[in-house]
Amino acid sequence: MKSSKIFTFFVLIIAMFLGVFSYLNFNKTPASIGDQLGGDFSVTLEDGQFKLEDYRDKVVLLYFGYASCPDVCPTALALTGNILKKLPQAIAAQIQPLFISVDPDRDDLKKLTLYGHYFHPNMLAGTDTKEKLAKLVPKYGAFYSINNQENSAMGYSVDHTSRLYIIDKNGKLADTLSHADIQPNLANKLLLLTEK
Amino acid sequence: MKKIFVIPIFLKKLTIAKFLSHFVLSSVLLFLFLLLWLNSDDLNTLITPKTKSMQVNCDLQAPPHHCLIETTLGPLEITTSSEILSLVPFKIQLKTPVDALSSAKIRFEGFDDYMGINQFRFSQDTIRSWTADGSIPICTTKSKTWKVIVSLYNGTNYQSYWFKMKTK
Repeated sequence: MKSSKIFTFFVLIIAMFLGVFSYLNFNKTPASIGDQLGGDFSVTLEDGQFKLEDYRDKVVLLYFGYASCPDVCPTALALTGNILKKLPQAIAAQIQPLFISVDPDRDDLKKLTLYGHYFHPNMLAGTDTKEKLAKLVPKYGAFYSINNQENSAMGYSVDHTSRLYIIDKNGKLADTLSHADIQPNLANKLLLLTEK
Repeated sequence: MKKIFVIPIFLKKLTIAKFLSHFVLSSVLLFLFLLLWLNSDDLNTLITPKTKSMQVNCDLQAPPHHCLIETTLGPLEITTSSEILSLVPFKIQLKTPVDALSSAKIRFEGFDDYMGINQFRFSQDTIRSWTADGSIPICTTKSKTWKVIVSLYNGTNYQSYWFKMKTK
């Protein structure tokens, strides 16, 4: 057989393979949101680094905000903390809440540790450089931006996504909860992702 | 002089043009194999049908929080339960004149800047009615301008329509 015929044969085989592959993938619903969003990351805590890859045996609850956030962040974190406190001990032990500040200029690591513990004794809180946050936050489909407020004592506020990200024990983004969904739905979602 | 290398006969017959065509073809095949092997998102992007979004007029923020847009599937009614505000859950409903949709979703994109991924899928209530629960999960003190994209799929074709919206 001439070499050109062999190549044509291979092209046809590959085209067929691609056709089947694209057909199978065309209407595929991702098993989890994490097929598109999420992924491993690390942030700096007061006593070292938080690396998501080190928490493969835990469900991680991730929230982006900032410590000077007047109402939305504390409300979301308080709801999360209260729900965790009401879960059975064995379930709660499988969950790691994490707050990441998108305001590293104002939120130092010591302040963040106290801030996290105020809502739940196991809540870790950290931040990182602006460059690293600028890559990490969109990775989870979230956003933040500095909003200058000339007539405010705060100087600036930070617009940000208020959503709770639920990362399963495989490090995949399993679900997200909007602010209003935390109270009614978080406990049930956590029970589904943990072992009794 | 002793021959160090023996050139195979098929290489002797290979012209530059043939060599180049085989090289290009092999590279393409190798690239495709790599994409498949890595189950690359790039490949998914390549095979995902692209739809041009068409701008339409739709003011959902003013009462009665309802608009009618012309689509190739017929007129589509869009209704929200109330004015859409940041962090406040809302319901949005689509109504088609006939059983025309297989699936539908709505996406809120920042009009000027990236404002996260805010997408909600409609679920079918009746033959002609679809509803999605959503909320704009943005903690902000300012109003935001969004590009609201409604994507429709009728089982064969994708269609996409967008309109501007301001939320408080």
